[in-house]
Amino acid sequence: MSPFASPAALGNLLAQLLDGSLTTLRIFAWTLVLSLPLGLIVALGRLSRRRWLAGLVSFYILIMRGTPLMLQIITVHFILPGIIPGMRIDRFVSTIVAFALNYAAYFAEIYRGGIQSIPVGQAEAARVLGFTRAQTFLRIILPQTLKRILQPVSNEVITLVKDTSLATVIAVGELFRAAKNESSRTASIEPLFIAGVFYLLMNLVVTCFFHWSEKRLSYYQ
Amino acid sequence: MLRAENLYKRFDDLAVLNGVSLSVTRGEVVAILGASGGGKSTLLRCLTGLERVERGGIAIGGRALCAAGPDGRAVYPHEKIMRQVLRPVGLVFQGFNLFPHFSVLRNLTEAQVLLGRPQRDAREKALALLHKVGLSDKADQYPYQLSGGQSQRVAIARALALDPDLLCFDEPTSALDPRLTQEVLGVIRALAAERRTMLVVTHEVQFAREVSDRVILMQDGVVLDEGTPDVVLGKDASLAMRSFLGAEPQ
Ligand SMILES: Nc1ncnc2c1ncn2[C@@H]1O[C@H](COP(=O)(O)OP(=O)(O)O)[C@@H](O)[C@H]1O
Ligand SMILES: [Mg+2]
Repeated sequence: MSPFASPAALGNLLAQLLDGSLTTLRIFAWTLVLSLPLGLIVALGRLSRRRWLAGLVSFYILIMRGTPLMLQIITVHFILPGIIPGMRIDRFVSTIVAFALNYAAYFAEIYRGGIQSIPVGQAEAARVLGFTRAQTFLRIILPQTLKRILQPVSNEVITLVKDTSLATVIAVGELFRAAKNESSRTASIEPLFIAGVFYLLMNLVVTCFFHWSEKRLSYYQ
Repeated sequence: MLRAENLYKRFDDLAVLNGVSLSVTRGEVVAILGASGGGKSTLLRCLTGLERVERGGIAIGGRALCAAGPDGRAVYPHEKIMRQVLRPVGLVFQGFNLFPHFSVLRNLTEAQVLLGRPQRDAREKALALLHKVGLSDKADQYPYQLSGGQSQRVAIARALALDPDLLCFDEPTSALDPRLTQEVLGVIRALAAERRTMLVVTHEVQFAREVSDRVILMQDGVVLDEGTPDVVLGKDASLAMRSFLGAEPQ
């Protein structure tokens, strides 16, 4: 029974997929809102002159980048309620925590590369002009870093759109799960392909956003 | 204005400053000459707080940037104090180090505003300085749109915006081709004519002779020769100076 058999069947399929997309977008947005700033803190820890801190953060990054995100989602889902007493098992919260921790590690490495690529002369010039360390970082280093990391960050964000499908492993009802359900229910492959088009459309928006940002930052250099 | 005594500085096992003493009085222009690798940049970086010396003392306007402790080791105060002591010192780099993400005008206003000057005053000051270095028309451009000579003139204006009592230059024209060198030297000449206190590391011997009140020859981390340009660069120049001048393309 193809989902295209009747307008009603098609309508039902699209409704299911749109519902799943909503969850996908929520995972996507929450992950970015949390991991983009968290990544900066992680990057600063990694760049710290305190050896123990830099070492600890390196270890964190190694784990996050070195093990499958799917495994991290499962781990967080089973560990989190144990760490935070009284917390009920919430699939969505577990997913967000795992994604935020994982993506923060990737963003941190991108930030670190960007920060280190700014010539030391910039910080030195700021210093002899009386900038404090914080002022130098916020007004001189960070804005220039932004321009340099745009490309690698856009890669990660595009990957994130697709990675949201990993949440299906703890039965979060996102787009991919909805498509899989519909696919088995109707014994057809079309729902999966339609989901693929949905992901593609989302990434089209992401790509446009980054192109626009790149243009906005092209006023110098 | 500036007094540095017995400075020692090493990078790992490379001794770069081996007991340099130097003083600059108010209104004086001092030129530092010397073959490259002799420690001139390191000296300026130590005097402007970008590097720390291991031994010796540095005082700026009577306040200690660092002081030799009982065992001779240099003791530095807290970062915040250092910033205050260094407040009257400006530095112009060989490579300009303009902020590429700021307009020319903002390159000149940012530090002023951070120091508490009202935006309007900072802007007025910046425009006056751009006029002075002949770049009034570049206020709204970005550093990538400037030639090397223009960049360096902006960098000088940026340093002047904080009204430094002592302005240091580290080979301000070494990154420029000869044609652009002159426009930058012209600006520094004009500053010398105003009796600004300056410490200039340069390879331009003729220029040093012309603008400086005193010339210092530095080599291998020590001061080899020092005096008025007439004497030090004159016909009775020391052997060390002769050998330096002989090696230097004139
Ligand atoms: N940050 C640094 N680390 C290690 N060695 C350095 C550093 N800065 C300068 N040096 C070395 O110190 C010596 C003096 O350099 P510098 O002060 O730049 O001399 P100059 O400005 O007279 O050419 C050189 O041998 C240089 O390689
Ligand atoms: Mg040098």
